[in-house]
Amino acid sequence: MNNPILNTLVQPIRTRGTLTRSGAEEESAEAPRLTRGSVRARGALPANLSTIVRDLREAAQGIPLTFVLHGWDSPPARTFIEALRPLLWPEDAVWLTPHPGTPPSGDAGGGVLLDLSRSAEKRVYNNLVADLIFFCGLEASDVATAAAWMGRAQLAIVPADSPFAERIGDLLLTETLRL
Amino acid sequence: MEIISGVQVNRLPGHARRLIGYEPDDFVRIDRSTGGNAGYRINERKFAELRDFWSGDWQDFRLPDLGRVAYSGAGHAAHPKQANITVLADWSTERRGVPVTIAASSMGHDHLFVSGAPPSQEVYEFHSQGALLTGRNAALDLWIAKPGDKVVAPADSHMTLYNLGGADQPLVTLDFADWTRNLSSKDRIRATGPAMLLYYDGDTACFTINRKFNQDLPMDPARRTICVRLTGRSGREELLYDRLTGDFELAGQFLALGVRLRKASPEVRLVPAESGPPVSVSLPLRRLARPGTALYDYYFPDLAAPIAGLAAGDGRMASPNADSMVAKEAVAAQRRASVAGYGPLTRRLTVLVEGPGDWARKAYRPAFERLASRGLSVFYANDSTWSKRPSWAEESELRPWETYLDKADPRNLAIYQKLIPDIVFIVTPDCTHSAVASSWVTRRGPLCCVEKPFDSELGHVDNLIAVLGRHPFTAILGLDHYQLRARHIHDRMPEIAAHLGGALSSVEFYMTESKPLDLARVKSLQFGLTLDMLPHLFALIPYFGDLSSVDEIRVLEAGRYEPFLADDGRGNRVPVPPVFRGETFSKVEFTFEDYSGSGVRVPCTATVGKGLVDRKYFEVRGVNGNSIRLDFGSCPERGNPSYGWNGLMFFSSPGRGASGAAEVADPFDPSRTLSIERFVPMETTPAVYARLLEDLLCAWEGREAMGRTLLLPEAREVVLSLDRIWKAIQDVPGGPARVGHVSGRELDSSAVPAAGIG
Repeated sequence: MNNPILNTLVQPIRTRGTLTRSGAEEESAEAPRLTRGSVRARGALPANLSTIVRDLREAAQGIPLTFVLHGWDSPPARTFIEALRPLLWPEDAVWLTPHPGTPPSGDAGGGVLLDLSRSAEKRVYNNLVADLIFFCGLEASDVATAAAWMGRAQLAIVPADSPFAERIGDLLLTETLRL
Repeated sequence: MEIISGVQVNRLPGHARRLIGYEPDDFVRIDRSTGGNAGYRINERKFAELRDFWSGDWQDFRLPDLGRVAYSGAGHAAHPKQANITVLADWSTERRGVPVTIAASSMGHDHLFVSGAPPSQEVYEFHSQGALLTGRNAALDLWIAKPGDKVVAPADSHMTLYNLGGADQPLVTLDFADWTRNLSSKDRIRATGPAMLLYYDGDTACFTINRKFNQDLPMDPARRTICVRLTGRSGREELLYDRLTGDFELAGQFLALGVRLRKASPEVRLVPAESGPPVSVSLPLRRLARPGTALYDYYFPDLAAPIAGLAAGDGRMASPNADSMVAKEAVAAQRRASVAGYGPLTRRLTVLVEGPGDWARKAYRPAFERLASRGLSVFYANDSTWSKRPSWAEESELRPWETYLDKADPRNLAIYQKLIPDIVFIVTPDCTHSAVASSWVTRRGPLCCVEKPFDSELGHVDNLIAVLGRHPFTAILGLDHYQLRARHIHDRMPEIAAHLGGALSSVEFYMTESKPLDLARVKSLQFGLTLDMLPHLFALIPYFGDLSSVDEIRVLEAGRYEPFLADDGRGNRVPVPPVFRGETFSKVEFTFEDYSGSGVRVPCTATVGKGLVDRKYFEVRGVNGNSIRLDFGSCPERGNPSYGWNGLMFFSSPGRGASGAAEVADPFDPSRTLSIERFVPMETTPAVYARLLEDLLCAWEGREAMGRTLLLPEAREVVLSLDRIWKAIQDVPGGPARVGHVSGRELDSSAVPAAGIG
């Protein structure tokens, strides 16, 4: 990703992942490999979206990826999806959600814009499992929302300079370690 | 290529010394030291012998040198009988001084009537492209065959073989018959000439029908000749096959001359001499033309079939092998468990159920409940244009981890189309299974489990396989809850194999219910209950043998119960709507090869249907007289609790009960006393589905349930067998609706009609 703005905007945080089982390395060559998840130390992550997505694809072993973008359609979310779009496969899923209490608006552009005021769609949202989730980190509600994603996402990304970035990151990282 | 044990076809016919011989440079080489090959006698037919038949339309063509070999045959007239071999290579000659090629033919003969002889006098199997002309005079059938196809030459009929492979590919066929009752005459051919002439004029194949066979045909040969232009980018023989089997206009031209074009297949039906059902065979003759098969028995009924442990009569020793049974079953299970290249999940598992019908409620939902605490998201995808939203899936009834989507709703459809579940269960109507699976293949869904029956149409499965070829990512497994519940067979296979003596002698299956048709399911069951109930048996076969070996199918009985009423779900009996066109019960017989490796075919009898007594079991008898029975029923009111309901039982052979074995009267056959050595209870259906889901949380080596599924090729074999059985049921005289009404009589000694249907 060569966009200098995004390089400072995006700070990936590992929320949780498939923990490598002890002895897994000794598995025979014929054994299926892990399909999703990887273990990375915080700070060792590449701050480059294309590298992040490539790593996720490697972990997913060909399974399409699921992305959930919160805070649609705020400028950070729009910036993020513009950077993400060239990296998407046609089979990938992009789910867009507005901030709580905000009606859905804006062009979903191939993604599915969920209306969380509708109970049926709120139920869909609550049952999604994602490879990558994005938070704008602009509102306090993002922290609570992030907490609800524990165990359901591989990776979270928040803009580095957003006011709630640190809290979201700490929360998810703490919870991940507990897993 | 080996077409029979010790009989090789050379790949370079142009360099062959003889069409059939015993040397390596012969086109078809017979190794006389192998098996019963010493019984072959080669008979080369020279053009001098064909001179008498070279008349009529053929006289325009120069008869090749009389000393040249026209075609060759290798007859086998010894016991145990093996298939005969025929090789025909095209003939280069001239027509009015212009070089032409005549498609080699056997020139034809008429079968002679032999009292008591099998009506299906000979079975031909093609090992290259060819045709067989059968029938009489003005009603001839021209069977077009590709390698692997078979055609029956009926008794009291004319028959002529033709090569359709062109000058570079001689025709190679095998044929099987009882040579003592396979009498034929060339007298008519001597008088009339062959029924049909096929020659190649440049890029045109010309078929001339002999007017002496059909006096209604015009005198002018040009008006009795059909010309097929063979220009295109594929080979000439491919073009000819495609035109003859797929061109309706061409078929019409042939029909106008009294010849019906027929497309051959690997399957043929042998019609019994006496009354009775035909037997359908499709495996290669190299596997069936030997003692102990239904094919052999059809032509040589007086020769006893071998059983495992005894010499088969053809030099093979059908020895039982318990180790082989255990090893082959284990390999098959391992292959299934690892087919989904899916590692253990440590995050929340996402499941999508296509078709939230009654089965999803009864079998899947309780399994989900068991696993919900581990982290689970379940999506139910329905199509309300097919069936309405079930009450249990109303918003207020769903658990927090459940989501219902209606694909008929555009908003829901958009959501459905973006879901990426870890596993998809396909529980939609049978005929849609493969299509739904195909959609997940194109979406790169990692794992699809398709409920039984895998599909109702073989073509649908083949389409799925083609889609999978273009998108080779998704793992597809066939599911059957009986197979899942029977996992004790796998767990105890060493014990079972030893108990059965290392090989099987027979299998018996009952899936009969006393209750009548459910009115709500009449539409989905309209093609008969056999398609719904028999798949359970085919899902159990892989514990003991290879599904691809299933053959020699015979429908012994098929019909409907009477009075023909259905249950409307409110306790009322109502007439079954006319949309139901199938049978309510059937009794089917087939054979397969077990994992012992003996090659001896194991007979299997299956009775399925409704309106009979409740009886659900799968019994496997071993060569030593012991057996195991897997009973899928629960103890009825006033039933004997000592019998092993809903579990796996080990029976000792009659009169050899092991010490401590419980002697129990068979609840389904009062004349039989069961000596039960051991009993292992079975798990419930929701429990085994939960295990299947748990497998996704395990390393593949630790998977228990996923190995008890069907791989896609196995599922295809099931659909193919069901297809064949369904067609055989339709051929029962009068059709399935009009024969074998079960009311007022017994289907057999123990499966009696249940009282109270009306």
